[in-house]
Amino acid sequence: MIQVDSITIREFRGIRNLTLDFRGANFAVCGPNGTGKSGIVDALEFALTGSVSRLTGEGSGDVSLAAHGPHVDLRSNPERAVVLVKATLPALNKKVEIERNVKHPNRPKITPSTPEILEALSAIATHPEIVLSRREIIRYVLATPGKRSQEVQALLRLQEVEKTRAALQKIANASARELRLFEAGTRVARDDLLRALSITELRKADVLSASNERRRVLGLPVLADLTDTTALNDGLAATIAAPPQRISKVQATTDHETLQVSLAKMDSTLGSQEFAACHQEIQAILKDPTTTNTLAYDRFYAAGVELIEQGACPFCDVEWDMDELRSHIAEKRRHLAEVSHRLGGVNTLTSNLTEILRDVSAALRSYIRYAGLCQPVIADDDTFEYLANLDQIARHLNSVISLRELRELLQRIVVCPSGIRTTVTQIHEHVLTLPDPSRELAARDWLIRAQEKMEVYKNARRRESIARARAGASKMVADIFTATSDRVLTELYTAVQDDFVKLYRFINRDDEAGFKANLTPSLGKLGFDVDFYGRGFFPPGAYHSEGHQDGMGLCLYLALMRHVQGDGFRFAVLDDVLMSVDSGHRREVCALLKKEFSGTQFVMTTHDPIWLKHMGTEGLTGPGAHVQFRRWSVGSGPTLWDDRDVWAEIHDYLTNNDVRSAAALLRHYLEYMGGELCHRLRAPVEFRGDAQYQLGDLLPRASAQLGKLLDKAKSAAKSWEQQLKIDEAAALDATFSAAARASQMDQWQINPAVHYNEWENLGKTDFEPVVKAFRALIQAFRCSGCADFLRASPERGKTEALRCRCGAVNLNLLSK
Amino acid sequence: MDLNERTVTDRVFDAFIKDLEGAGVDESVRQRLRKALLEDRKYTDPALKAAVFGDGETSL
Repeated sequence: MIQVDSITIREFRGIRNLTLDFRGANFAVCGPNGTGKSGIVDALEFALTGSVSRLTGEGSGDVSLAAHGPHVDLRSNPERAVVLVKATLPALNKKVEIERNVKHPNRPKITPSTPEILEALSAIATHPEIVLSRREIIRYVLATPGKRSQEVQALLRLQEVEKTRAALQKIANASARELRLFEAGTRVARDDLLRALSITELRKADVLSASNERRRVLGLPVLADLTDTTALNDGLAATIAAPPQRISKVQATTDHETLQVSLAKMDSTLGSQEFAACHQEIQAILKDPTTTNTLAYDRFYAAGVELIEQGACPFCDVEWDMDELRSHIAEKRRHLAEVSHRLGGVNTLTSNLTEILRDVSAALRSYIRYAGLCQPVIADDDTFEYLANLDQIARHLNSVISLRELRELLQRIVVCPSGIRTTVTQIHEHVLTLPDPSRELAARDWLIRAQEKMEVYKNARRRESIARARAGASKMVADIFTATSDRVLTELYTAVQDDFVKLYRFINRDDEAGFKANLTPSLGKLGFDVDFYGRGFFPPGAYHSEGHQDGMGLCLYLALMRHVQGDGFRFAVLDDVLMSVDSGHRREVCALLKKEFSGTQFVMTTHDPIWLKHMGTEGLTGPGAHVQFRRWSVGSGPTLWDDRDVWAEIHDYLTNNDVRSAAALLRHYLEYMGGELCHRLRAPVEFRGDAQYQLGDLLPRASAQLGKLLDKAKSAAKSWEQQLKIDEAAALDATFSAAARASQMDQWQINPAVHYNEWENLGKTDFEPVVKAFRALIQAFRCSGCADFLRASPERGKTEALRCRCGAVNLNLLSK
Repeated sequence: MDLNERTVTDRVFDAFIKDLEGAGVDESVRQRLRKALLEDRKYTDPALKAAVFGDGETSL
């Protein structure tokens, strides 16, 4: 991925001109709400991806990057809204500059622009998830399982996997449906062949027997065997050159009988009492609004059951266990049982009607073709339209329709019109006038027709065979893809879950060391349940505080990013995320980021200056690796605190003779440091239920505790006869005691309310020594080597040592 | 490229191609699917249908 060395922002969002030097390391941006912190977040995202989620994502409404990316005073000059990022690509060991303006967000100026750099930046541009805000945290933690699945899938870039799975399943389902069609085609071709051969079973012996009977009539050699290449009419062309009849009298007569049977069946059905009763029942049901959709639903579910033979939902292609899905649909249909019972007769009738209409259509279509073969040709103007109507009705009757549509369809069914019946009669009369064929001619017609039907049947079987192979292959591919993706993703989710638990336990090890979580993927959902103090597993929002939930969101995000990007997780922006973590665990969050993600550069925003100090004291951010916004104005953008430490700021106040501000800042800082030092040195402090500690409650306690620890260190060193350690502890004690005396810290313990309350009333020259004394005092709590504040170790249990980060101070507190 | 730096999607596709081989799926099918998923990055129905059945064999 990438590490950002610096960013320069000009006329972008609320920022006029600002350069921040990150030096490729963690960096914090602090400032009250509304001082421009988010502008930096937006600028980073814009420079790296060409877009700003806040302006383009969900809930952005009418806001857009093009219209609202530039500073409000330069709305019509988007080319002047520019962000320049200087960065390092660790994988390539290359430096690069990326400059984008809002007018052409997708045409960044990249220097140098070698193919490998462009490819690396192109990959980064597809990762808007480098920015995590509290809004995203909620998306991961508190979302419904379905929504969470979408969010996590988007983060994991799983859209392509889902798209592929759906496409392969769709292909498999379509191939299965195609196979069923070809199977039906084979059945029809087989029935046609049986009729042509005048046999009832398609056995080789029966086919040969029937064929050889005709061949003997024509003097053709009998067929000894029936193979794929056998032609039943083999040798026929050479033996008899006479053309076949235009109309086979025998066949036409048979077709006429079939048609008459079909028409009679339709006439009787449409004229039956059941048909009339069916109409009445539909009318009655339609008058009851609560039941009007029942038939549609019932037929919908019934159709669904038929279409799920391949183990997937026919609508969304999601795989189901067959029995489970059937049971699921059966349960739905049971709810409709009462109305369905009333509709039972309607369903039966419509089902029968479908078959009848199809039979009539096939028989009429087959017979009416003789009209054009008669001499003279018999006019046939109406049949085509009638057949089209029949086919359409039959198709719709068999599909999912409402009861109202069913009523209209039934009204459209009419018996065969008299005009068509007249045409049929004319054809039949013409056929009757045809001479009976000779025995030879009949045999010849029989063999030709049988061979034709045999070819159709063979072709149908061939196509069915191909369709079967395709259905098998596509199902196999789809099944393997589903199994593979499930396996890989389950492994991934398990790893993410374990990592999430590890990270969360780290920041909550004081009270949730045994924390557990379940991240459960299932059918487009991602369940997320967490252990609540051993009482069971619940959704994160059920019992945990908002602060804990935010901690979970951060940990889940970090775990996901680590598994998505692996070693490529080199950069992330945490936009006021740390603020929402509960205050008792912020220090641990800093330690977590530093320990577990030492290779990742975090740019963090917060509106809490104490938080900012936490980042520094925990070593998450280095010296000077932060910026503080004081205020913001639309004309000038954010105003920075000088990038100097608090002592320089106090000095500036005093230079301007502003003792009041200097005193306020010193007090605020010492209050923060008092708490920080008490924590590090494990100083006993009088507990306050409202957690409102004043300066006098904390700093004197820290001071006394350090003195006590140094005394213990000297005693321990004496017991172990370690002269060097005795001298080291004594030197520290001497320095510290002098600083404490200078600050009159001992007086604070007698009357803590007096001194700091009087500061702002002092003159400049009176206050300067106070500042100097407290600066020396705070310095005396630090290691002179690494500047880390000394700390008692371990954090809990018996205090064993006084240490600093670099190890230069490492004093044993346990005597012999 | 290190395994960790590859996308989850690519990890799934790679494992899929390997599993196809393990299941004895024809090499030509595997090659077409590898090309569609990992090289051309086409995940549409027609592209995958052509990959599964081969060009020119997408309909009976």
